[in-house]
Formats: sequence, C-alpha cells, structure tokens
Amino acid sequence: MLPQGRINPGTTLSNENFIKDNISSRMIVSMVSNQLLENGVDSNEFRVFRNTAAQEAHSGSGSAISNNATVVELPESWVRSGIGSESIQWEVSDLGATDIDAPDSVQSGQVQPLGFVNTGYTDIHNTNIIASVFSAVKVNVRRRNTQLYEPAEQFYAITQQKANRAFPGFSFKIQSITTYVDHRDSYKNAILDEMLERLNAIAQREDNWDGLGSMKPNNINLYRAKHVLMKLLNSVIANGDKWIEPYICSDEDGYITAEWYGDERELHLRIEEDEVEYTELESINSKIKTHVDTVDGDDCFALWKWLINE
Amino acid sequence: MNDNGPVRNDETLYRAVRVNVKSGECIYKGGRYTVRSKAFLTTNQRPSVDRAELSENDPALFLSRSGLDRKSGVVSFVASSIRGIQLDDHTVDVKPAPCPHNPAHAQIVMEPDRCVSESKRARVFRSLRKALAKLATKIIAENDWTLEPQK
Repeated sequence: MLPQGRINPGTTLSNENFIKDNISSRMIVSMVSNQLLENGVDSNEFRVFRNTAAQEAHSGSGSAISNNATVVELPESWVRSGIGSESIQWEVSDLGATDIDAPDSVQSGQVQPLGFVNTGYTDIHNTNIIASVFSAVKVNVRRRNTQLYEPAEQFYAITQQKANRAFPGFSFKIQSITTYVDHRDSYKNAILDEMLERLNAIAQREDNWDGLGSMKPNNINLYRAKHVLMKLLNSVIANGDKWIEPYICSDEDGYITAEWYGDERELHLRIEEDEVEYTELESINSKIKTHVDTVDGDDCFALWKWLINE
Repeated sequence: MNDNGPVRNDETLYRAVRVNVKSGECIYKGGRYTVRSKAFLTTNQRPSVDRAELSENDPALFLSRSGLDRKSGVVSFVASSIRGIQLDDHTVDVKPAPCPHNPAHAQIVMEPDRCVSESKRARVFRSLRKALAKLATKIIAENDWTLEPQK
C-alpha cells in the first residue's frame, strides 16, 4: 500500500502499485516535489519526472531505473557540489530510480530526452541498466502546467527497435509505455516567427508613423530588442513556463517596447541601447503601484517571474 | 463652482482616448479594450483632464471642446483614484488649469515637480502614463466608457 501524501524510505513504486492503488503519476511527482520543498530545496533547482518508458536488462555494471519509477533531475552543478545530495539520493534510491545518459534511441524532432543527472546510486544487485528512456511527465510544481508534452504512444515500436540496437545482446521486456512528445522547440519556433514578423512590421515605420511625432526605430534598437526578447523566450521555455504574448511596439523615442497586460500585474519593457527600462504595475486594494528601474538585457527572466507571480 | 478651486477627491474627470489602431493608444482585442500609455503622452509631462462639473457633466460637450471626433471615447476618472497612484519617490495630484477657451481644464502632475535628473523624471513620467492607462483600462472594464467610441 502506498503511503498517502508522503513516500517513505523503502517504498518501491512499481507498475502494479499504480494499477492497484490507482495512483496517478501526478500524485507521485507531487509527493516527491513536496518532500523536496519541505527539505528546503528551491523549486527551480529540481525537476521530477515519472519514468514511463523504461526497459530493464541485465549487465555487469551500471545503474537502474525502474519502469514507472519517479526520477529526480537536479542540475549537475548542484549534485556535484554535494549540497543536500545525501537526502536527495535517499529519495531517489528508495524510489528505485537513478540516472542514465540520454539515450541515442530518440530521434530529434520526435521525442527529446530531458536528460537525467547522475546521483551516484547503484541498485542493490548492481546488474540492471536501462536501455532506452523517454522523457516523462513534466512536473506541475507551483501550479505550472506548460502543456508542452503530449502523449504519443505510437512511438512505442520505434523505441523498442532503437533500444535493441543501442544495447545489443540484451533482451528487453517492455511492461507499459507511454511516451511524450516534447513540443518545446516547435512551440518556441512558432512564437519566434510571430515575434519576428511583428518586429519586421515595426521596422518599416517612418518618422511620425503614428501622427504624434514618434521617431522610427533604428536598426540597433531592433537588433537589441530581438536579442533581449529571444533571450527571455529561451529562458521561459527552458523553465517550462507557458509564454504570454506581449504587445510589441515602438515608442515615441524609437525604442522597442514589450508589454504584458494581466488583470493584476503588468510588465513593460523599454529596450534601450545598453539597458532595459522596466516598469512593474500592480493593483493593490484598487490602487495602482508602479516601480520603474533598469536592468541588463540578459537579466529579464527575474522580471518574468515577477509577472507570473513566482 | 469656481474653476480655479482645488479639485475635490470625489470629482469626476474626463479624459478622451483615441481608439485608433495606427497610433496604438488603445487596443481592442478579444472584446476588451486595453488603454496604452501612449494615450497620455504630452510634451509638458502634465496630462490634461476636464472637470466634469465644469463641462456640464456632458462628455459629448467635452469631446467636441477637445476637438476630437466620436471615434474617440471618454473615460471618467475619479480624482482620488488618480491621486492614489503610487510612483517611485513621487506623488500624483490633479490641479486646476483653466484657460480662456476651457474653464474645465485641469492637469495631472507629479510632485515634487523637479527631479534629480531629466532622464529620471522622464522615466517616472513614463511610469505615470502607464499607471493612468492601467487605471483607464480598469475603469472601462468595470464601468464601461462614459461615452463609447463610435466604430
């Protein structure tokens, strides 16, 4: 019987558990996430996945990840530093989960492995390796749901074939497979296309384009805006957030502006030559509070986190 | 009512907003108007409003006096909501500024009037414009236009 709300040391989660106890992967990752958060780990520092496509085989060395195990991914630097690694390894090992390198079995454009970080755990028999592991479900940490992953069970056959090729001589027993297509690249590219189209339209403006005497944007400003917005977009997607479309325009001085309008919070960027002026606006008790300052163009992600209230 | 008397907190103030895609003062998308800071762009950093009581509480009269056509809409602010805007190191006030052809004229001002640098003042003024735009958007969403723009 699985514990409710907490995963205790010694608990092994198997496919049977999920079926018998009707435990959803979301519940599992939520429990693991909560434990990490309780242990003082910042939510930005880890990701938890439910491994749903693992296949087991025998080998003289290596480590193991069980099918349906929950996988904790940590930044390499974080693990290397050893900060809290003991408790994390404890969590991971007791879930029967550890790491492998991203497999070759996944073709780019089909399913992108998210990569697992080596926690140093070796399973009790030291004989199992995992041949082919697809990325699993992205965790909903703090209400985040990017919807960037979609089930794609039709990739099963491809997976097994490629896994066999990658680890010749091993036999694979596939218990159940649900793979997930990583849409992040196509999602990002679609946003980029739209953004560049908008910037190209703005680039056509002449002086007094609005009848109010506004200057046309120059090439430097357009280039800077492209750089800053692309950098921000990359950070947002990498963080697993859903992009909120800004209103992109040029202002009276010819600078490119990006504006995000929410009911409570608004963020406005004015992208200048060597810095970005930002304005945060917030409705508090029917009063509007503003804060304006500047930031380096590469550091806008913190502003994004403010916008989405994280 | 004295057109030079101070603007009371409960006074209604008219402001015209041009709903014009090209100038980008106000966006209409998904059934919702979003007023942008551009709607409050002025060279003297003192956006104008008209005191409703001195405009016979008639937004159409105000609009024609402003020289704008009916493609512009009118938003009604309450003076206290403008004064409630919190800026970095500045407060916001509404002061009467009657002129011969418009006794209802008033101005939104930042105090202190002077700043350490022009660039900082310009920056704070841009944030004031954004705050006014957010306030106008909120008013339209909650109370609708006082005079809706004709499409």
